[in-house]
Amino acid sequence: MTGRKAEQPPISCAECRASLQDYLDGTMVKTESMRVFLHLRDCADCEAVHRQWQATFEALESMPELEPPADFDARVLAAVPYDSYRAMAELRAPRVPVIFAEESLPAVVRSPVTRLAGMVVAAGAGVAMGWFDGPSSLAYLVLAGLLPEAVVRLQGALRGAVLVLQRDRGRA
Amino acid sequence: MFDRHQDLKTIRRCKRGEEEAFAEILQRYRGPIYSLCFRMTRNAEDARDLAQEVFIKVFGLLDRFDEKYAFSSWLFRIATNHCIDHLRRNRLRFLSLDGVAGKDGEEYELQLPHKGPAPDTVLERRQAVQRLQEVIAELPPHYKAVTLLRHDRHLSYEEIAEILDLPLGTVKARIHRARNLIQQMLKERSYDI
Ligand SMILES: [Zn+2]
Repeated sequence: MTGRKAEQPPISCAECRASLQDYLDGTMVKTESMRVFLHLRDCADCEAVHRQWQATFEALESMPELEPPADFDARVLAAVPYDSYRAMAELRAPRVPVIFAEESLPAVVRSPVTRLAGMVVAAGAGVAMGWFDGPSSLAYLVLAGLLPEAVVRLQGALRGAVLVLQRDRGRA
Repeated sequence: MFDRHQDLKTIRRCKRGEEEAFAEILQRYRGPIYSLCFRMTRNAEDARDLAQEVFIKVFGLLDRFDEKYAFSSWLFRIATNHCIDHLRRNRLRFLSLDGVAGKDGEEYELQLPHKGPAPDTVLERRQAVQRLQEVIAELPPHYKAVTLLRHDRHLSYEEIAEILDLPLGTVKARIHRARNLIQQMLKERSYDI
């Protein structure tokens, strides 16, 4: 410990006093705060100033949290325009070009029933082709069956990409 | 100190128009925001009005809240600026910095304390807080703000820099300056701190 102390040249009273706030803030690097500590140990004048600062810091840290008056929340909530906020929700929602909006696809294509049925047909046609050596024209049926699901997913992915781009632009 | 993740979830519910979610935010931050407003203005009525305006303003600005910041930082930024605007609008008297503070780098010759016993009784402690609040109230608005964010809200220099959108060095210099002023004023009024 004494060896370490010898490495660090002692600091002057002026340096010590200039460091006291940082010292009490705990923001000094360790070797520096050690020098302040050692100076305070040996210098009664600076230690006295240090104690005064300490008292100020303690007072500052002991301010209690205050409570607003009892009707505070009610007043704020009464003043907050929820109804109009909800009414405006549609306008605030992120907007995408019409072509990427879900509604731009016919409801019959978007319907889970259509998509599921399409996949069943595609699977059936694929099986017929593969296992039972059906005509190769069945490949068109496979493609047609997969089409509704593929269209919906592709549109969803593009919409997601557009939203991300818009958000980034909004932040910039 | 504030749960950033939980705040974000609540804010998203607010944005969907859930009234209860905003009530939760209010519940979580009414004390901190009111305390900040009170200590900035030193007036219960002003503090109540300012804190209310802050929450109403925040509600109106929710869509502009950038989720890459902590909600609490954003809220404190709005509250701090609102109070500073209020103080300026009302042209309240502040200490002239030159008048009290002296030059930078001055050395403090503080008279020293046969340091009395720490304020033990509840009354003494309350008086000490009272005096401190009086002194803080007289600081210029920006100095007051950094002091309160640092000591009343227990925020780090980095967080305060983010909230006030100031360089770290400026924040640190202001806090040091503010504390010098506080210490000097307490001393001049011969309050035994
Ligand atoms: Zn010394």
